[in-house]
Amino acid sequence: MALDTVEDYITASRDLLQDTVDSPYRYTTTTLVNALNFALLEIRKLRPDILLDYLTGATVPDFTAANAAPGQDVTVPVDYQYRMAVVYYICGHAQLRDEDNTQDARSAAFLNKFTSQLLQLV
Amino acid sequence: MASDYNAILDLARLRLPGALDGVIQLELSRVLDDLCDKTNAWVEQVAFQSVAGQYSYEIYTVQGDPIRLMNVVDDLDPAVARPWDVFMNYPNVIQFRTAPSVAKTFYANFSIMPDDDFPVTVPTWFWSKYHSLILDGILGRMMSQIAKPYSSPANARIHTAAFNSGANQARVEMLRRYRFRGQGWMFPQGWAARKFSLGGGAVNVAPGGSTVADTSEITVIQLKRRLNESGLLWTIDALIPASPYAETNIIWNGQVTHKQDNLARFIQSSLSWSTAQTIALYTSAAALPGALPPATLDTAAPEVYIVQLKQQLNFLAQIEGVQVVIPGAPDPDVRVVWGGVASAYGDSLSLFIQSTLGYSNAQMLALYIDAFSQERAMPAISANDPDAPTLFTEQLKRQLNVDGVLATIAAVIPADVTDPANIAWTGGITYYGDALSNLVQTTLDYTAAQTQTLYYSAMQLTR
Repeated sequence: MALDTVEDYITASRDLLQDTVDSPYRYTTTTLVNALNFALLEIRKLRPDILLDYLTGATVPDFTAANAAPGQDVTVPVDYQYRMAVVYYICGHAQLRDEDNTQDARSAAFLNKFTSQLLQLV
Repeated sequence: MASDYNAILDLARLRLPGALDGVIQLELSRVLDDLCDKTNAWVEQVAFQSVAGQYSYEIYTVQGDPIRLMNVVDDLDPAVARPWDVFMNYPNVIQFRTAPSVAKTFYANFSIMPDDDFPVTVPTWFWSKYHSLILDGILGRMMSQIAKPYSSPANARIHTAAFNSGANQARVEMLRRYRFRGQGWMFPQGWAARKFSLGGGAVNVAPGGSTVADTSEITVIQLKRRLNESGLLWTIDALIPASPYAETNIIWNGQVTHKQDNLARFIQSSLSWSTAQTIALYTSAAALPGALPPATLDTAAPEVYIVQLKQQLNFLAQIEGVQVVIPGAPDPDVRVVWGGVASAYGDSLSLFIQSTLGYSNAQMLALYIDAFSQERAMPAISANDPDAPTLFTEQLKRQLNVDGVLATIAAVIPADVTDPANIAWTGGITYYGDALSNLVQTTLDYTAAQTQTLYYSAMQLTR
């Protein structure tokens, strides 16, 4: 898995969120795909060069839960150097809704990791 | 080409962790544009057929987009080719100042830059010759971006400075058509700037003190001529006496290492020459004529007009203190012999100006090109300025009469000496736009200093 498609991102995020069993999922696919969309909006602000093809005359890609279905192969246009940052953002954003202190800290850690990976070397 | 292109991209990737290929390639395109613009290193020749009587021609380059028109010649054989007076109003449209009278093939040389093709395309040799230069340009631009993992303002400055320095070197190399000794060394730019402040026949003294005195050795003009022949005058002229009018000889006792021979030592060290080379320079200089060449004018030459050249020199006198008097009345129909290359041998007027000003070939070329844009007509007299506080027509005429040149100039200044209006003059003849001063100076062949003296003397006279 090289984090090419929407499905890849959702699967990788569920691993970190410990939400891999659909009985049902704690975080719905729609929630995680929305977080992926929000990640792209943040990237557009922090590192517009990553979305170079979407700077003129095109909006930032917007995905739906259907794009994450197995076998859809809908590509997320992010350079491989920054794909893990997107996963961290999805996880952090998903955990924002939780209210206990442990989850808050974890959410902040993910979101900070997202930002630092975009703007810094480490 | 592809391997060199990719090699540069690979090196950039190595030094720019986190950078995206698309962005590197975008900056690479801009670097190549900048490089071509600064150096004129990429030239494309386009042949076209003229039509008798037609001034304007639409010409397209194939390999890239035109930056500027270098020249237009009427033959590929340099022995017979003549440069034509042509300019480019906007890219791809060139215009003859005087339309060709017959249909013939012309060759236009354009300085070009890469077009919008992706990936960017330049001649193969670009990648190898300017490898480091291009890399510095990319790194400088990339590292100057804000809020990126590879952002580094300090390193951006270093790489940008290296790029600019390399581009300057490449520009000079191109000017010298990559000849040996074209760019083994460049004098620090702080010294080069002194070329623009020559004036009044002052002797420029380099650290340590270059000296001149009247001995039995070579003259200043001989040395300048010799350096000019070698294309080295521009590198050294700030160190040697500015005015070749000087009758003084240069101290030289046959040994350039002589402890009193500071000038020779400066030349030797500045050019990184051996003692033998410097002795050869002096020896061959001694064989050259010691007097300035007579300036010649040619009414059949197709190039710049004497009026245009004089006006440009006047303009330079105003802004840079350039002091040169060229002989000959400013007849609007007289043209200056100029082969399109300022250093063309046989062009004694060019050599005269170049020797006097210590100009490089590039500066001479710029002088002539700038002169083309000057009006051929004599400048019009500006309206009298009632607010000008000092000089009046009558005073100026009186002074001109004292100087014995009233007859020469009378026709171009207001005839009525009783006219109480002041002459448009703000107290300094360097005021730009003072058409009457310009006219007086042009007509009389006065230097800026002479004109200033004239005005100040006139102010002392009664009205």
